[in-house]
Amino acid sequence: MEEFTNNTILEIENLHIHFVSKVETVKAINGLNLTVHRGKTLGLVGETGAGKTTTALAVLNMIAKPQGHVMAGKITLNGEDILSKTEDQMESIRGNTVSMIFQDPMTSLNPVMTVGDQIAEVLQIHKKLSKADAAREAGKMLETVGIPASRSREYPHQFSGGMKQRVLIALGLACTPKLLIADEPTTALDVTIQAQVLELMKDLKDRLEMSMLMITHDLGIVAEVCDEVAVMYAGTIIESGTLEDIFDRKRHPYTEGLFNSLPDVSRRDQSLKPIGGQMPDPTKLPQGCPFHPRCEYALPKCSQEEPPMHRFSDTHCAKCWLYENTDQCMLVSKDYDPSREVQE
Amino acid sequence: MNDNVILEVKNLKKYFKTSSGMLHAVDDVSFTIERGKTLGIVGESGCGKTTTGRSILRLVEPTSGEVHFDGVDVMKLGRHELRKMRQQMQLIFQDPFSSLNPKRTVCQTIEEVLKLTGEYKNSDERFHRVLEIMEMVGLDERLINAYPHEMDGGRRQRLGIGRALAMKPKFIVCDEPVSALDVSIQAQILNMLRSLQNDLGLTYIFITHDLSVVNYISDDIAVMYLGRLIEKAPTQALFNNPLHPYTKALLSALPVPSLHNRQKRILIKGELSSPIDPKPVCRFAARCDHCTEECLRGEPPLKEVAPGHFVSCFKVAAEMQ
Repeated sequence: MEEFTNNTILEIENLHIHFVSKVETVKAINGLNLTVHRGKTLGLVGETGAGKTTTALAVLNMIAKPQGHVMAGKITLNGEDILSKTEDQMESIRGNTVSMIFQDPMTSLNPVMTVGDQIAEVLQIHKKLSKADAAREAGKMLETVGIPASRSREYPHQFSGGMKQRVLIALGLACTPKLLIADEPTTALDVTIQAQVLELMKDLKDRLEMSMLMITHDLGIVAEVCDEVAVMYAGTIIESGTLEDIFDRKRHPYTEGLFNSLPDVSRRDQSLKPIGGQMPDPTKLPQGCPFHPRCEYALPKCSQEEPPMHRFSDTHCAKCWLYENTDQCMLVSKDYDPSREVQE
Repeated sequence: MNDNVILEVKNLKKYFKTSSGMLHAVDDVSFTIERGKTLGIVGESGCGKTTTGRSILRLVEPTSGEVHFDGVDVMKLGRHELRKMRQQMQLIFQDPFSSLNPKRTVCQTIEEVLKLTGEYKNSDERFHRVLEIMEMVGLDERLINAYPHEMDGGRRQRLGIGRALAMKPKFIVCDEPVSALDVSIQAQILNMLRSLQNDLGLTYIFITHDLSVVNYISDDIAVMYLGRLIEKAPTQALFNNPLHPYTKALLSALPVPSLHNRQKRILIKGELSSPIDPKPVCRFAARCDHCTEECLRGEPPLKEVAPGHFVSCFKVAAEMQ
């Protein structure tokens, strides 16, 4: 236990979340395991509907009731069992231990409150600062993210998109949380502004000694800011490992498909190789491996039994039947370069 | 005019009147596109790329400038002639959900366009053509009576493309057609647009903010900044040898999904300045590391510094002399 709290800030074990309505049950999260190490950034990658945001909300114990049900699983954040906490207890954990930056800076700020007051409010509630102290501290937070403190009395509509995202980052960091969850923090921004914001987040993470869970669909951003990667499909992690594991030694057909779908700036004559078909309907997940209907490597077994997680190394694992009897890469990816394998 | 040139845009301007002054959305943009080629227009939000695309089709009426399509001066066409002309010039929108009528099925959406062409008089012929178009854009026959809300983003975009193709156009403005889609679906649509171009001899203007997409699909690329065209070059030349300081920064800011050959990023400071009544100086000057006095004296003209490679920057033009 001692060792656990030292190395790991967040551990999710066998999480199952369903959203139940009168007509159907959406199986959003299906047996998810995830670990974020202290001081590291984990990139959670997947397409729309994979369950990335639901996972983040579960960590904050904010799954929408009454439809949302955590069917099974355990979430340990900084040594504490999150799912057994009362709402009051969660209030003190949110903000102080974990906070979240949402995707859309346009809609996540209060339009009728100055940005300074919005940050100060967080500090008054979570750090019990006096009004004057909170206002001063809010000004400092804005400076940290590169906005002059003098603008703290302005309203969100007076800021550009990039500036608003900086305000959201300042809000998330106000109480120096141990874990910052960033849900697509730069998706709504232009590339040059995105570059500024990513640089800022990297810098702050190191300065404030935080851990980060970066949710994104952009593998370019992952390569830029993350230390580890978990690839998500239909509510479960199908492959995880270090940056090198995933970018240079990928094993799962879905991970390969994601990379092959990306236009490669240096190889423009090559036709893109998209993954056929669409994400499965979460109300009727296929039997066996959820990816098998779209998988070009599928074996007869894949449609019957769910594959186990296969370990390739201490850091790298993938959930796929191809590796039942072998550690050798079974993919014929265009990126596959055997010389890199030897260097391991 | 060169016979191969299908579209020529000359000194296109579109200003919008606002309460605080004239907003220069598109300011003196000129370019040509050859038949069967794709011109990618890139730039960040607010740079005028969408307005450029729409001005060409006269979906917004340009303030001034000339557009020649297949030898015809589009700006001089009357309402009726313009309508006829637009059959050959179509548009694919960014958001396939808000640009499709939610109350029309796939069949009705495409059929409506076919009725406008007046080419298919009897309903059997039309129905047959609907099926043909659906096959062209990879929509399964069983979806013929589906409504937009019953389909996912990728299929909706396929329908949007099918609707544009129903007119048998020669030229299509694709305005961010894949931005709203997941990468695996994005790749399907991009491949389809490429093969449709080959099969039907289409010419595209491809508007996007995504540099890796524009690299994949375009023959030439035009970079816009605050309403101005600042650099235009063949794709390969632009990516291998960007000349304008803004293009350099833009390319280096692109997050590359690989751990090898990583480049040092050029971060540009600050944000876009206001497009309202801009001063007659280089529009990038305030954010540019190489800004000199000359840049603050006047606007740099777009100069051809290498074959097919145009750039609007005093410093680059002087160096390349």
